[in-house]
Amino acid sequence: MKLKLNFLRKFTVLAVMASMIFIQSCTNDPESLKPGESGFFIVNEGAFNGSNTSLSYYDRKTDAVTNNIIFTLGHPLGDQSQSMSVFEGKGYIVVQNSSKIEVIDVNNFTLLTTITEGLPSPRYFLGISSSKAYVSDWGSNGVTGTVKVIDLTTNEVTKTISTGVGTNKMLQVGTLVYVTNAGGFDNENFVSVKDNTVKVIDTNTDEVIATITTGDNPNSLQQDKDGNIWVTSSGATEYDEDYNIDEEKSTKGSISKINSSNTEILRLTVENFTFSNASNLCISNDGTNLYYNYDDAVYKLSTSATSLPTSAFKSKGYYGLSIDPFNGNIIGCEAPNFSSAGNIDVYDEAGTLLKTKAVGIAPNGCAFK
Amino acid sequence: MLITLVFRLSGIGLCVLASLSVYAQQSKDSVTQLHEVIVEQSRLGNYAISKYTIRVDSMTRALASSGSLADLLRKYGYGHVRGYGPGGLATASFRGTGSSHTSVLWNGINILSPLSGQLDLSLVPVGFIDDASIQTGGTTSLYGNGSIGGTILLYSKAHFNEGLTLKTFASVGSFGSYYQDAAITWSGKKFISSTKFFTNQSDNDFTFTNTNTSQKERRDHSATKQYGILQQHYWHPAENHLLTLKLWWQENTYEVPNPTTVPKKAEAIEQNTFWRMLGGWNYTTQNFELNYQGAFINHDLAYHPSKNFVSLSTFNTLINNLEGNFILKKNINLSSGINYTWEQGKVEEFGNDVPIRNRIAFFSALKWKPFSQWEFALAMREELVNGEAAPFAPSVTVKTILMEGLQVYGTLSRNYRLATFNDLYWKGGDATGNPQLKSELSNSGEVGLKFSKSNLKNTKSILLSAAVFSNDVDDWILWYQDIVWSPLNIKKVWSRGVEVQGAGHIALGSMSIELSTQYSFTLATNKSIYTNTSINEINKQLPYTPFHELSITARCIYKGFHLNVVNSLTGKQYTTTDNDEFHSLKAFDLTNISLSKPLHFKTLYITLNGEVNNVFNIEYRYRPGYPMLGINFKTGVTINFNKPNSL
Repeated sequence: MKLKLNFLRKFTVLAVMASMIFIQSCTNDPESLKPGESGFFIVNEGAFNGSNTSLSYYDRKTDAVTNNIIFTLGHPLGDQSQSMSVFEGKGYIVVQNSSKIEVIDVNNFTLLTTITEGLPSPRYFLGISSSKAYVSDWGSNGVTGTVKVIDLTTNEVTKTISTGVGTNKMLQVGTLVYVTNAGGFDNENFVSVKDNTVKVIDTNTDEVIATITTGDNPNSLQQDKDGNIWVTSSGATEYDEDYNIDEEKSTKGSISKINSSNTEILRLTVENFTFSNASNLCISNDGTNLYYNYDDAVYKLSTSATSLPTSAFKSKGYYGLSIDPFNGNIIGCEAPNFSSAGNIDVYDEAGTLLKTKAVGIAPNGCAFK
Repeated sequence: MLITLVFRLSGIGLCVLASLSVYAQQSKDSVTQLHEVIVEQSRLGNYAISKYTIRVDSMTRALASSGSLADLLRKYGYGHVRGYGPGGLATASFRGTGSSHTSVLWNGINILSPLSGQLDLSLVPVGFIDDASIQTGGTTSLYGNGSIGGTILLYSKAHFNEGLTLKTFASVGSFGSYYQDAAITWSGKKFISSTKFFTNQSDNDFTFTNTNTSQKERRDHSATKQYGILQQHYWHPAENHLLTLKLWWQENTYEVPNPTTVPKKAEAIEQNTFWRMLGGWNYTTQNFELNYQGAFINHDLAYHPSKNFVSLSTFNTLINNLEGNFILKKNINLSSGINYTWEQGKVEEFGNDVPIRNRIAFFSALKWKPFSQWEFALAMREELVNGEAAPFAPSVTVKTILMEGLQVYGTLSRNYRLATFNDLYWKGGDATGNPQLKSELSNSGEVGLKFSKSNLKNTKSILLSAAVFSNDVDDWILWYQDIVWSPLNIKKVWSRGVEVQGAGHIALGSMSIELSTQYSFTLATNKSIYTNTSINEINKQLPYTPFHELSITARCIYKGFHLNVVNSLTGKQYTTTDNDEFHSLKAFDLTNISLSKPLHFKTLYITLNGEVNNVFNIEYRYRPGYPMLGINFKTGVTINFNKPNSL
């Protein structure tokens, strides 16, 4: 059985490699492919301090996943990959607990370089231009959130923009970048510190030009077809000395709608205090439907809605959530534990489960070529 | 004292065999030998009439005396010690079971933490232990809570009327390691008083290859420091009575390094401070012995994840054990007793709760030898925990002697492990304990054989023993993440395998050569499906459980020189529950060599010794991201002075 599995694994690797060669040789201009058309990466976070984070790749042609992609350098990825972004043919894997970004060639998985300086606790990468990118970072104490400006020609941090606490996902809208501050945990004094702001950075000056107040601990954001920005906030849970939720001091999760004048025009607050609060906001490719995690389930919210849905789109909690830009499928990343492989569940927009694929430990999101 | 014993054993070159025969002797004359050598212990071990026992002999202990019990077990391949880097938390697992499935008894008293259900073996200095053995398998059910995989038995020993003994040992080694101990013992006809002190420290700033960056690096923030004192008093107020009092205090400070994949400077420090007090009374007549032990343990753990914060947890345990041992007939022995244990846990993450557990256990064991070739033992233990019955734990063993020197045996038993305080009462953050947890339960069986043979002059001997075992563990507690992490009785594991050990010695004139080996094959597979995704874990080997472990020790004694070579092989280990090859830890084979030479001036004994560990500078890990020491050296001197009492 083991032999067979090994054979299958090797066969899959060969198949993926063969198909890549095929794609490369048959396609005159690979850049003309739509995002996600050839396949996508799955970031497997691994266990914290477990040194077992990894990267998987789903090939659309073969419908197969290759796990534990080894870069040509041969070293393992490190500890706790938080995210990956594909920008101009390169994959930027942000390995938070290893304080680095591994830059790979997305076509042949070779390691191009590793950015290690000036990134104490990086979270997400956002390519701005051929010469510039932003990386959100929590700071070494967990609560000094910044956006690091990276010169992509030298792969060095050239500027640090102070943003808030727990700087997390970012969204580029024209020359502006919206930055969520998800709050954090002060690892020197061992207290939670909340934030309730989305900062707006002008990419021409790399300066914060506006601050938008949302619900406590905004963590992810999307822009809809009408230009509004939607933000999920997880709320801030406070405990009494016996570890019961102190409801007076706590705030519930919420979803904010921000218009193009950077004003919050709607805030929808969730019903329950829960550990699994509003997060992982995704939007359908036509920009009309939002998907997010809440209370161990996935919810779907129309961008024209004025209240939150009462029933779940999928009553299953996912560690990560993505929308496939190629076909609009909803990809749920399931982490049953932090000691064995998780999987991705792929749903169509109607919610029908199309496939389930085993990936690595604790998958938390996808990156599309 | 210890060294004297070592010399005696060295003289005849019979460490393993001698210790085993001493053990057999103890079983035979358990009651009558009391006045010769004081091993004030429970007699329950005698009811495991045949068992797979790994005996840590006095020579082994002497050679490892500057280390911890974890170092010793690792070096000689006794069981499988899980842990992080050198000096970090280390726990032993036997027969493919979990780290909290090994109970540790100090002079018969269970010293496991009720909070975690474990004992960190790096906190047990070998120099404080006079006798150690490991009993694997189900025959340990008499010991109760936690004895699912095996039991480590640690004993003190004393001899009356030996006069004044002073002993000190100091060693210095690689990576800033220093060890020193000193002991003063006065042994009269009716009273013994002994005080031992030790201090041990290491910087552990060794170099290693960081597999994450392919760079050579120096290990940072991995230093350890320990010191402690052990006082032991024995008093014979009358011929039938023996009173004992022991006090053990120790402080341990460890820097907790980050895994090598994390470049951030580590700051965490762990401090363990404990004291253990043990008082005992033995009353002995011709056919009856009464043994009472009362113990109190206080253990504080202060964990400093950063300079500005400390998390405190404390446990207090009070143990009372009363045991009667009867010789009913020449061929029937009976022991019965009662144990009352009070446990209290104070942990920041328990919130306002300070849980207390009252446990009363009744136990009884019978040994019957109807014919000279056959022997039966029946044992049982029932425990009430806060008034509710824990699983009944019986065991039955049959042993027969097929021919001279060859015996076979079979054992069936049922063991249990109570949920720990952390499992039951944890509240902090996104993890919540589960007060409804049941005890873990194991049903196990084993068959084994032992063969021993020696010539009349005892210049040649051979010993072989082997056991085949099967152990089904049900209701295994697993921390499972739903919305929050919470423990559930959902894991089932079937562990089975083979254990083999062999030893032989040959004396050729003034040279004595001794070989011993241990091998184990363990298949410990997960049998539980609790979600649709855990199907990936079904029938997979438990993580950090090697299939194969082998150790070979060779000793040569010639003209007082004592050469000791240990080679221990640890097979490949999976680190994930679905046995992902990519993240597995590769097998490693370590070689350690030591050489010692005793010098003797009247009542003064001096021993010089040197050792080279990890001779071939193998890079190895017990856990990903936590490198272990490469080649390292140690040299030491022991000075032992004895002034006998005037006769």
